[in-house]
Amino acid sequence: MNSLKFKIFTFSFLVLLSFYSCSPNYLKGYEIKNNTDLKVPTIFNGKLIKALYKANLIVMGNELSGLLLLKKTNPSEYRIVFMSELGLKYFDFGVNYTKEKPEFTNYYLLSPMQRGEVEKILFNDLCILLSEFSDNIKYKVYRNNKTGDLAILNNVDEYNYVAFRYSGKDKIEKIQWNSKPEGRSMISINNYKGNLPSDLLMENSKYSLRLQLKLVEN
Amino acid sequence: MRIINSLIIILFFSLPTFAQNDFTKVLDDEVLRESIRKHSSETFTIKSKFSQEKHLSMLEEVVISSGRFLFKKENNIRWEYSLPFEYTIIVANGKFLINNEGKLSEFDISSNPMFKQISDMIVLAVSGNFVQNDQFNIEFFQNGKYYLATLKPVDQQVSEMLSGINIYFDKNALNVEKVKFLEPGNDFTLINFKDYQENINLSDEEFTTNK
Repeated sequence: MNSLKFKIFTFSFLVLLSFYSCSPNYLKGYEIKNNTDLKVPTIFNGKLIKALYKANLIVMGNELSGLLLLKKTNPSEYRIVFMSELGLKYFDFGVNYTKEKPEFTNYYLLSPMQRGEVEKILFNDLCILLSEFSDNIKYKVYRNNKTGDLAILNNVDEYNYVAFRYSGKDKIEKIQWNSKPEGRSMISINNYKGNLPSDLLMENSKYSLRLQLKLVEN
Repeated sequence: MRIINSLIIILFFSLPTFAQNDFTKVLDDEVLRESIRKHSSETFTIKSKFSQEKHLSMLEEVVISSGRFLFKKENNIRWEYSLPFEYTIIVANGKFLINNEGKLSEFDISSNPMFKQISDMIVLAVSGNFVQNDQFNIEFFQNGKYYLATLKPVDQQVSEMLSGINIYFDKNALNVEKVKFLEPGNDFTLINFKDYQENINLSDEEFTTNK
């Protein structure tokens, strides 16, 4: 009898071990949820029409400052224009969320910034900033029952994830994500004005990219 | 009747185009070049308010800023923005000084060739000291109110950032009233100067971050 108990215990332990070993570390304490049960939050909650931010961007050791304009140009497309105080345009990107993978258009990137991975990193991180998880995008949603944090995994690679932390109802305080080869990034939002984040910091530690935004007007 | 209506419609929509393109080329520009050069050499300081319009053509957006502008020979400049937020750029003694809402920073102009070129172009455009500059192809136009100098950069790298500079001079006083920085792809920045004063006393302290 004791032998049977031991076998059952060992079997259960191995099952549990195999289950946990399949889950990435950051999902400890999370439970998978049916994504139809949960509304996945976004920073702008679909309310962004146009917003002007005072922006500071540190990229590859250079600090650039100026104004960043975010504008919704059609139901699933945004334009992001960053320009200096004197009006010199640093970049002008478009992001389209119609398909499962966001589509990126580089309308303009100042030639000295056309180095290394700058374009790729900016695109990857700005996609998360503006992202809208529409119904045609397939993902798995996990929730931490203690903290209420959410995590989203795409179906391609479980190490590509996005995790959310809230401050109050439907307001995101922090987003962390990981994708290859762009590495880990984070957006933390210190304040909201109406529906828009008014003080936001985006960081990519692997490439030392740091974008700080302060809302000027909307 | 239908033809007359069509002609009226065509004429109506053509009027703004005529109004924008009423500049004619100054054929013999030597006298004008000399007058601008002389005026520039006699301008030691400039103090002016400005409004800046950044036109993003594809987005049909205009981003507006404003503040005050100071210039003191040879190459001292102060761009002080008060709207939409406080931000000051000072070019003095070979350095860029920046006051970004109280956060001060400083770096050598020569350490950043792109900023040096931009700084030089701004000095040239605003002071009118561009007539003998071989970095641009220059043409002159005029209408009833302005002389217009169009500057096209010769350098390929500069022209990728800035396709041209249009400088509008008051026809009588020859001071710069408007500067338009044109970018590839129809976007542009228009700076309008107002309450323009020349050759007034400007202390050196204006070109420090102490002020």
